[in-house]
Amino acid sequence: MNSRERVMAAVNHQQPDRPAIDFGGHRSSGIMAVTYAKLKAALGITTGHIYVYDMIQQLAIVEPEVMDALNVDTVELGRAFMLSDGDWKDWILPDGTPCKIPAFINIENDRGDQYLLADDGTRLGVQVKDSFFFEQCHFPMADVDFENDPFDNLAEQFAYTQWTGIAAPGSHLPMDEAGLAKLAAGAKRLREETDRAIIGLFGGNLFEIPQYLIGMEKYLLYLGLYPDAVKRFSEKLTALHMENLEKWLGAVGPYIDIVLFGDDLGTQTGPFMSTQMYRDYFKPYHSKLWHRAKELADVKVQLHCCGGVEPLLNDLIEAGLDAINPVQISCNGMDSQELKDKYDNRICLWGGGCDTREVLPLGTPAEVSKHVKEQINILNPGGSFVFQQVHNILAGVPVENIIAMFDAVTPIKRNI
Amino acid sequence: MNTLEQIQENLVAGNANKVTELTNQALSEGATAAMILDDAMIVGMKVIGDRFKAGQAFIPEMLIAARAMTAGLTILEPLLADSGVKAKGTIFVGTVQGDLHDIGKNLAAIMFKGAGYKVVDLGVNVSSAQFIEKAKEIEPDFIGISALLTTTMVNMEGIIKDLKAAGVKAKVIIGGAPVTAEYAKSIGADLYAASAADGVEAVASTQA
Repeated sequence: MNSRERVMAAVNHQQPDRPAIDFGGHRSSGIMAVTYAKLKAALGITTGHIYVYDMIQQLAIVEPEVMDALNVDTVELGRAFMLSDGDWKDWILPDGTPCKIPAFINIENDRGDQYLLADDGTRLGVQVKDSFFFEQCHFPMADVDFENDPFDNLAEQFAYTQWTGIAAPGSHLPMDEAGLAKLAAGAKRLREETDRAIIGLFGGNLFEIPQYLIGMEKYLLYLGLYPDAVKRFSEKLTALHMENLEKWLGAVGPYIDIVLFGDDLGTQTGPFMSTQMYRDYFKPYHSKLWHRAKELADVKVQLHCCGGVEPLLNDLIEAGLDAINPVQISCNGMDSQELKDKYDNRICLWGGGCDTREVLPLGTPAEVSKHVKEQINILNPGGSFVFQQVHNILAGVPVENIIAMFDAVTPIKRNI
Repeated sequence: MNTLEQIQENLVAGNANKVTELTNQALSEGATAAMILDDAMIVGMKVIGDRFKAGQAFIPEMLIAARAMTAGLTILEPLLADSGVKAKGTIFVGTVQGDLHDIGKNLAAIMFKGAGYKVVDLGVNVSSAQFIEKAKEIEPDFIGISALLTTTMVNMEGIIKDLKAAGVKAKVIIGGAPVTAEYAKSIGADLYAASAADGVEAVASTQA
């Protein structure tokens, strides 16, 4: 099996020759640049650079040499873009490691704190001293009269939250004729060059975008207070997403294998909301977008959805979901065996390969290896599983543990 | 159903206007502020907390109940102060240095407030120095520290050490997505909360 066949077998509930591996195929399967630099060194890879493609979380591009060494079966569509040196500029990571960041990123330093800027200079995110992340600091619709607002200018507001306004390779191209032509050409070239499964990051977030625009706590309160306004918001947002989905899949659809949507519906202890609220406020719209994606292209639909979301899984499957990620096994209701028993052959469990709350950051390499093998024994039989650690690998995670993790899936190829 | 029971029911349902109206009504009927607090509001918030823990209520329900509670407390607080009613204890809450996430900390604050504690919210990205300075001004019984990330969770250990070195006597309770009971123990925290609703029980258990 080549990599694409392996991933697609798993997603189609067939047994692959070995567990398919996702590393850096999308944000949550990725790795922070500070840790990636150490991983490369440990693997003896001296070529290339440290490229940060996701500025907010400071995630590194996993380069082909690293993918080869770790037997990675996925690649993100974004790797088709920004291939020349002029697309990047120099920056220094919080631990002092030099790196490259996209040239279009604007950062302002203010007394040790760093701010991520919108095109007009609005401070969208802040990375305070001692932190490795940019956190959102601007909520453009925080003071809106939520109950009565028609939500007619959402698209304009997207430029003013860090999660919707700060682009990454691929999403930096405008959705106009020229931009879509570049998207299509890049996707076509990547398809011709790789046999890895290509994941296109669409987003289409319905529950998260209102949180970015308004603020998390306010929006969660509004879910309880203003059902009509919440539905109105979801409808307007879905119309915007649908317009973009048609254009985007029209361009890249023939060349990608998986479309990734995003919406973190869960917390450590369970879903953010009741199943009834999910059904009323989000499910009809998820269903619309996901079904349309599959009409527009021969793709499978994956949702990145953190937390203890087991109570929502049947509804997500009904809405058209093919794969759920990241299978956060440390949360309530997310026992690997129970999920496998209950949902096998109905949804691909894309994740849950290694716990990132305790085992990967705090365990020994032997403990990591044992845990990963146990997870694979539970999740891989019959397919319906793609290996990925639960969350992108953070700063401070021991490199020996990362190597032990991949080595436990399938032996890695070392240069030293 | 008497007025106190109606307050409790409307608080659980998140009906802030009704809680305001009924709180005034209860006072005019002769109930004391302490009675309304203890027998209606604290009971109501306990109902929501228990439902939350059981997976029958979620963050939106908790937030609308808290909003209703705040509406009632706005009326009661000056009366409670006048009559010298003491809180069950004072707790500081703050998100650890380097971490700007606040909803977990805010939910914990809601539950402590709803259980009759005086809550002093120090905000996010709180350093040892900020906790210690505030502790000199208002001596707390408990200090609650929250973290969302494994990268910031580690800063809790330094804060606990600094608090002890500065002679702050308050018991420290920690929580947040990456935090476990074992981790709490390993860094010298006195108490651990698996969720916002668990914090109140953990704290109350030390006061019995």
